[in-house]
Amino acid sequence: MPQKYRGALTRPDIMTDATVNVFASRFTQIGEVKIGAGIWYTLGYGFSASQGDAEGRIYAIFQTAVPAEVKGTLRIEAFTPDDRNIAVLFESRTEALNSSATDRTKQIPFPEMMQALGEDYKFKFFFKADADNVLTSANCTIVIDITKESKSG
Amino acid sequence: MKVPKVINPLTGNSMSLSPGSILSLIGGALLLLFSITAAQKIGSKVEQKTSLLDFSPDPLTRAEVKVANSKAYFG
Repeated sequence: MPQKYRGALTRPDIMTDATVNVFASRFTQIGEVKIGAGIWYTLGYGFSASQGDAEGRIYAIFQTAVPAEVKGTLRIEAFTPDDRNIAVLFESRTEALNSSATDRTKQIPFPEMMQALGEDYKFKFFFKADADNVLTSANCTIVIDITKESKSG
Repeated sequence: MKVPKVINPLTGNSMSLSPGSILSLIGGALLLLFSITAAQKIGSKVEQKTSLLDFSPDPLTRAEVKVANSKAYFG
C-alpha cells in the first residue's frame, strides 16, 4: 500500500566529504542525495507557503573550519541516474537560508514541490560563494523537509 | 350613483364597471403582480442554491487535488 509521509534531509545525508572547496566564479557541487529503491523523494512538505503556518521549512548555514560563515547561493537540482540535469528546483541566498536555527516560523517556507524523484535519481546541491573558501562539512548545518512516498507492492 | 363605462375594444359595446368589478380588476392585477414577483424570487433562490451546490470545495481539499494533479514522478 503506497504511503506518503514526512522526512528530512540533513547535512550528513548531503555533504559526505570532510571539506569542500567553493568558489566565487561558479557553482560547485557540495553534495548529493541518491534515491533508494521503492520510494520517491520530493523536496518540501505540506501545502502552505505561509511564513507563519508552513509545515515544510528549509534551513542551512555553511561555515569554514574556524567556524566562520561563508555567504553565497545554494542551488538544488534534480538529476537522472546518468547525471543528466532535469531541473533546477530551488535557489536561495544564505542570508535567507540562515534565518533561525531554532524558530521554524522564521525559516523559509518549503511546501511540497511537483517533482518526485525515484530510484537512482539524485538531488544535487551546488554552492556559489561570495568569495573563494573551504567549507568544513562538520561545521555546516542543513535541514530540509521532504516528502517521502513509498511505491506500491 | 354614476357608474363608469368602458368600451370593449373587441365588440365596441360599452360595459358598466361597478365598484365591485373595479375592485376585483385591481385585485386581479395585484395578484398577478405578486405572482410574478414571487416567481422571480423563487427563481433567484433556486439559482442561488444551484450556485451553492456548484461552489468549489474548501481550500485544503482544492490544494490537495491541485498537488496530486500536478505531480511529476521520475523513476
